[in-house]
Amino acid sequence: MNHSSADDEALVKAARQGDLAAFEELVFRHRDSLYARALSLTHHEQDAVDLSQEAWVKGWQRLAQFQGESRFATWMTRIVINLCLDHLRRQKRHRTDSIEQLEEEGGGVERQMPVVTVNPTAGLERAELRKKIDAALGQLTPEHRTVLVLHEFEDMDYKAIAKTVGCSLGTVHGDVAAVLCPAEDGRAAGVGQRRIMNPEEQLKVQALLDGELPEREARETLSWTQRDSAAAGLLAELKNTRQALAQSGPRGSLPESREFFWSKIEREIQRLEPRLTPRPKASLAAVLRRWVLPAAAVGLVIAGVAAYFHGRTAPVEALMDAGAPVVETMLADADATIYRDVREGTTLVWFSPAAGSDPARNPKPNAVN
Amino acid sequence: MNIPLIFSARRVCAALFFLLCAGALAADAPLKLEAQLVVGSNDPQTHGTPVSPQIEKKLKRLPLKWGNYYILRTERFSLAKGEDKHLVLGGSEMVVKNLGGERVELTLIHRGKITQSVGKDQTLVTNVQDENSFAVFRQSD
Repeated sequence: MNHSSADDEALVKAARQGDLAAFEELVFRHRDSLYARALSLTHHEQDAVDLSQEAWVKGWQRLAQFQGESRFATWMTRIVINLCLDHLRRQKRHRTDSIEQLEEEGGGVERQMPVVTVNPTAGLERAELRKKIDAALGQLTPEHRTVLVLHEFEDMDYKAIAKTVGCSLGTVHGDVAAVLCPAEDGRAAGVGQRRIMNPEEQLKVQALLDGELPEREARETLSWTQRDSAAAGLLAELKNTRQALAQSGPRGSLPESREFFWSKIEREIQRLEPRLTPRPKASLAAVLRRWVLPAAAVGLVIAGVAAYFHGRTAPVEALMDAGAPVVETMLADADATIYRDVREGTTLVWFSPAAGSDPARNPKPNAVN
Repeated sequence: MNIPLIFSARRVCAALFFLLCAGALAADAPLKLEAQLVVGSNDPQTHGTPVSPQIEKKLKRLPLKWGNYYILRTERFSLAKGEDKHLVLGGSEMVVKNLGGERVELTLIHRGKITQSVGKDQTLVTNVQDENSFAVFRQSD
């Protein structure tokens, strides 16, 4: 199977059957979008990387649950958003707990080390603008922030948000209204003193900005916003917010290379794999094939080579050192003296004179006598 | 076991197998030998040609009493594995047999037999019937 040319559906099918390479291809295709979504929600690069990796691991674990009702990317987006929401909730709880604990123990946080919190503006160029946006976003609940980001940032309509976040359309409408016009509870900055608009009016302004109203209704709404200072203020504010978000949008690709990003996911998957899908025990034949046979083959070959070279060279030095005799067989009546010059590799064999020969004609060497 | 490891182990096995085969083929290759009848003397050259400096150096390191060595006769022959060659050098009858793996069996008729490696840098020297003479065996170039 050629993974790079296969579509998502085929890759998901292959990944379900345990094809990790197919899943890697899916990761490669959608990692940037998932990371961008995580970053838009957390406003922290490393958290976004970690959460998107965690999402991919969870995606692998839950592949069997993916029924193909939505696109794979949408399904993964839902996972990463849920993880981000959990993360933000934990962070908020931790921050609250820490402050309470410090106040109890130390009589005021100002005397203690500052609580470590995410700095959403780190690394951004338009620091001032983003500081304001982040300050506003920071005051929102994670759910409100998710709705705002998904609506303004990710260009998702309410229905898609409801599907992704898993809440009703009515809740989303309420959330968007609360986010976009939070003057009544004073949570967001930049909203001046104006009359309190009801949610329907807020949504109408939002719909006008989104271009979702029919032409005639749009003209009427526009006319109304020009007459009504609160509506005009909200519309201006929404435009500013949208523009500001567009300018400070956390678009971009993962700061990590494909291999590095995938290696961490792969390690985690492989760590979890035995628990998820326990491997069948290796059969005896498989063990033999994998371990014993190669080892035996290597051992035999090495033994053969060693035996061959030992017999082939039989160096005089080795024989001398080992005390092994080079003279393997001598005739029964033989009488010989052997001298070996190890350095020069010379062997002198001095046979005694044959029977009947004249010993005087066959003097033995000086040193051998 | 990791799949690449299996492949590499197989490669090693294959390499060793071919090495062994190559070695075995080399072991069965014919052995080219050179047998020289050399006479020792303390006098200036009277007969024959001086041995090569390499052989002279080897002979002078042996416990022999002569200072000069001269070649009286040279025999070059090739022996396949298991093949033997009958020689008469300096009045001694001898049989040289290739045992394979650069090992030879030298038999001096009625006197004795020795099995010895004759590698590229190895030399086998033995006395013969003629006075002050030796048979020098080594691989020929």
